[in-house]
Amino acid sequence: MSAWHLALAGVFTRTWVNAYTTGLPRRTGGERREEIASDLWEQATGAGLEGESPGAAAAHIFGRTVLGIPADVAWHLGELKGEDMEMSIGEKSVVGVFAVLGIATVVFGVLLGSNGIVDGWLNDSPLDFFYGVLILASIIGQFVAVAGVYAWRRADSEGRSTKKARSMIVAGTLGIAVLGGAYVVGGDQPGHRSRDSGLLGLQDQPMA
Amino acid sequence: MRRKKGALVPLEISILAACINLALSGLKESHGFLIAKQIGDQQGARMLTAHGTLYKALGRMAKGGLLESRWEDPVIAAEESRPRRRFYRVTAEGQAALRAARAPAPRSTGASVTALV
Repeated sequence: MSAWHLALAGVFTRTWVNAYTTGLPRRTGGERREEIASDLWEQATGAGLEGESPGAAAAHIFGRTVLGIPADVAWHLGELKGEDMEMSIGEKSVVGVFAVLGIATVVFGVLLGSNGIVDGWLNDSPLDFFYGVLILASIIGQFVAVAGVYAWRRADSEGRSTKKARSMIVAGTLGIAVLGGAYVVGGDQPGHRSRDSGLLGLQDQPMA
Repeated sequence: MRRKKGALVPLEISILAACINLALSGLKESHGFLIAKQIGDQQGARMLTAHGTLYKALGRMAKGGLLESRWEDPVIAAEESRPRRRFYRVTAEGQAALRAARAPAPRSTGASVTALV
């Protein structure tokens, strides 16, 4: 994996595999991670790159990962219950929509937050910088909340206290709500320009 | 949704056929990516089977006795500086299941399967 596209697609796929194998027996999760690592390697090297540019190969890997999310979720649940689970088309669609929305939210949030920070830095605008940080922090809040859900399930299945996991869910959710809310509300305040500029592609306009 | 016990879904038929075609071309065992590539070639699809869909099916088929799997010797993988592969091969039960699923199909497929038994 020399091209950065491929490296990025690999990181995305491995992150997802690590996420959905969390909470499973060590051997089961480890074998799935190894199998996907091998698949990624094969696709990124000779066999997968026949006539495919690194960018196209990366998009291909990304697509294979995203399209497999409903099956991954079903597999995870099945392994927990010790039986093979099949999802209906409706269930697959719901999981797929949430997966795409989640990915889009994270990508858009990271772009928007980074843009706010860079804009604020370059234009000497503390407000833009501050709101950029808020958006990135709310994205981190999402990760904390999701990690909390996994930690809860794991602690519950192992008979340990779930207090720490519940705290993570509450902190993550509050982070998303408070920080996201502060951005939305603050963005409408007079003098704040970040929602009318930069990534959204609109012209800077003085607020009335 | 639960499927009918013993019935093969289209992906399982494709996996069995891919493994058998690869075996006929000299590869007695195949790893997941190779199987996905073979399925893609057979179906003329540009997009390979999604990771989750493929490995869930392979695991289910191995548990069900249609495929048998083994992990590659880690020394070989280390020597080639790559992750170790998990190899699959079709069992006699898998061949029989494919034959049954393709019972009304043309003879050529049946002959290929029989050649491996």
